[in-house]
Amino acid sequence: MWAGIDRLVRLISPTLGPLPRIVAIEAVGSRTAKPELLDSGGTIAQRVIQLPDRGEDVGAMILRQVLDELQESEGDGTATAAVMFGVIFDRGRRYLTAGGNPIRLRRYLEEGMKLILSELDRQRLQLQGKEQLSRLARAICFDDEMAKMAGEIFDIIGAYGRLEVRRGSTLGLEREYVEGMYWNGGFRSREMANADHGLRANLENAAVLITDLDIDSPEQLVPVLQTVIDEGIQQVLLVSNTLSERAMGLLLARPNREKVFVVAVKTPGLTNTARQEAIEDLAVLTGGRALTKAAGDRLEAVRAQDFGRARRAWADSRSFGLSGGRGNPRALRQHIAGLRQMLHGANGDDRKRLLERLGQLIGGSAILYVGGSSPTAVEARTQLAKRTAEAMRGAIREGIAPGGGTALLNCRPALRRRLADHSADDDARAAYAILLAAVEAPFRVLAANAGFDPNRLLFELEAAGNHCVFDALTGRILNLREAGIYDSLAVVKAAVRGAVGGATLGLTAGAVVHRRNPPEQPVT
Amino acid sequence: MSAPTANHNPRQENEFPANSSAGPIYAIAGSGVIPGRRGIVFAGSGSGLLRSTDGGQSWQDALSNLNLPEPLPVMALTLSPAFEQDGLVLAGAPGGILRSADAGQSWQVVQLPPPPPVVTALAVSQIHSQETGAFTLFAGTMEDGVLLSTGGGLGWTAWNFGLLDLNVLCLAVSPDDAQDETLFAGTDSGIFRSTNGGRAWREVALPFGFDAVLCLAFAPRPAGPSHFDEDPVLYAGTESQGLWVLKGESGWSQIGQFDEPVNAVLPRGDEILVLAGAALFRRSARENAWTNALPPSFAGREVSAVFAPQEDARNHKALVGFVDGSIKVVTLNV
Repeated sequence: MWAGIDRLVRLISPTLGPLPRIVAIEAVGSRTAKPELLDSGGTIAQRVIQLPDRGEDVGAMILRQVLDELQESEGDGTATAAVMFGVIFDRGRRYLTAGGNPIRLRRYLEEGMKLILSELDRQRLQLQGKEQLSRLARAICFDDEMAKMAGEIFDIIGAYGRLEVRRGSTLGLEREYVEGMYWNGGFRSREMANADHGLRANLENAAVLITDLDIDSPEQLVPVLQTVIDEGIQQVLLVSNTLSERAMGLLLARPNREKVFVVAVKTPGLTNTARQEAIEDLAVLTGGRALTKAAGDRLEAVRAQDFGRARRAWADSRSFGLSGGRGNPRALRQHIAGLRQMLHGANGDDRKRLLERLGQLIGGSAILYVGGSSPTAVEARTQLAKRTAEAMRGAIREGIAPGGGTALLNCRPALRRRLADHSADDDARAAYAILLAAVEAPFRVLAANAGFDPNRLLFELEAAGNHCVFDALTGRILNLREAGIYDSLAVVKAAVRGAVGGATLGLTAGAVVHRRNPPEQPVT
Repeated sequence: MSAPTANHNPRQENEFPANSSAGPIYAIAGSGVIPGRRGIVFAGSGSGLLRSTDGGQSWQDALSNLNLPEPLPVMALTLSPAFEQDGLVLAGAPGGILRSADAGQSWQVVQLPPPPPVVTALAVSQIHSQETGAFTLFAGTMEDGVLLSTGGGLGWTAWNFGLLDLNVLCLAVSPDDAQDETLFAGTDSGIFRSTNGGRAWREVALPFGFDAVLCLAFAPRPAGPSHFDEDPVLYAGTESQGLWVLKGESGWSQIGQFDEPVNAVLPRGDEILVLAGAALFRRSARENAWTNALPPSFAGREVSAVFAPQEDARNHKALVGFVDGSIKVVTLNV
């Protein structure tokens, strides 16, 4: 397993730091296509499908899994995690080969990990202002234009704001800010458009009927239209799961349109859960009551107070949105607080959905258009933008720490004390010694990648004190404030958790079971 | 609203008469004012906009020649920090903003994006727009949040990222906003703060939970550079939770015991004036007790607005607007 891990670590470690080396990966399935030029550890790991040796492959895939999850959740920190993983696994396996106890070693490694995380927390700083945000973005993406844009965007939308990254039509980057909230899913008929320019429907002081119901017949809509007319409402945004052609015909019929202008859109969401969440959010935003299949609601029983209200609503062929929802602002804030609470324990798709919902509820969003000289360049830059955005969110939510591997180096005094406290316990001493080497490793690799002697720099940095960082671009050791070199605390902590957790899992693997390859032929 | 501009046609009066159709005085603002003696002052009322050129001794109807079809309530006022040079003054009304660039002698109507909101608050920043060179202006509205103008008030755009309550009742710009880009918005349910010149907002945690914040005011700063986070003093008057002050690291603390809604708070010099309900109270920095700020001759009169210029703090004079539509130069009880 170690050989496989080592191969992957050696592949990724040159990408660590502000002066990374590029890894060229041959295109799969084509001898004429250009190789991919990558500098992201996580993306490089994803390209490693299988190693020829099955034992090595198992090790590489354990590490790859750690990096995949880190890339997905934080967008950054994969090279740091890989380097630390490599050190922990290598030294750990040597200790175990010499007779160490794997379970006790694992226990002390995990205790040591908690110590490192707590030391990292003590170094937390809060991000303040566009300038600091841009500097942090620069440390993540190493792209000046993108860093400046990211700084401005996140200064506006904050940790939870919605950011869409789209392909642009120019060579560089552009951004656009959209007021209000919007969802995928446009109007159901072009005839609903009313704007002077472009295919778009604009509504003012609109009533919003929020449902996940299926509207199959025009008769279902008659009570709705009657209620609307009785209330003197002139414009309605109708949200429903389906709308039959006949029902649409009723809405588009001229006499009806002259009395009430209705724009019909589809309930957002591809799954039942997503639809429920979307209509719940719409109801809170607009102050309406969602009519749902699950509750047995029917359009025939709709009342005036079921309608939500919005100052403005719009729909085009792809999406619909609203601004100035007239829901109760206090209820909205409580709803948002509830979603933030749920975010703490969520991961994977649940976390993604919660972040999207929060972004929509904040009241505005940003779109970053990424251009480039070729489709490949655009794709690479788009992925970089997405990863940078993810890392920035974590930094805004959880804070920042001294960058360039310094935050990890600053954990050494606590680890040394712990090592001294356990001088009589071989397994504990081994674990803390391994972790001491692991927290130094990212800085060593970063310095070496930039062409400097890590040993000399470690000595100088320790003498300068833990308020200093090493600037690899200038080769100088600077005061942290002056240098402005920071890392996202969430990313560093996740890298530590991933590296220690993944490596200890590998170290405590007692056996490896392989699949028979090729599979047995069926008996005929 | 119609008829974009008008020339001023003055008529002299000692006091703008109490008139049942005039409506209450909502806002008073001026520049270089010594009440009763000099300075240009504007007063927004339930039926229009008044202008005085002699520190509030006499008033004229500023909009008389607009030939408006019906009275136009003016609920918010603000003057440019360089008013003496640029003569820029803005008045907020339902559906739009009135703008004058000649110290109130002529006005134009600036329409806001439809459906037009009610403008409840106006404030001006020290930050100059890089594109136009004009001061950045802010308008608080009911239902449309905060609008921002970098074109001297000629065009307005909504910037409501993070502003979870779009019913804005008051605004306050940090005295050092050129450095800290900080301003606050009081809304129907709390306070929001922007640290990037109004482009995004974050909720401010309040010790009393949700309540309508009717007024915000910064204490005047001593001379010399300072930064909001180092030494902030922000007053917030609420509908049912009284008057509060925010002091940097110390957080929020309550001042006095006001049972009525706190409609205005004016810190100046070594005193602070508070309009709670329809009564005006005063407290000196050296005392703890609140006293009635108006002389006994004003007993029973309901106050709806007050303007106490910083320049005249020592003389304890103020311009006081009343619910009955009148405005008086008052020497406060001290």
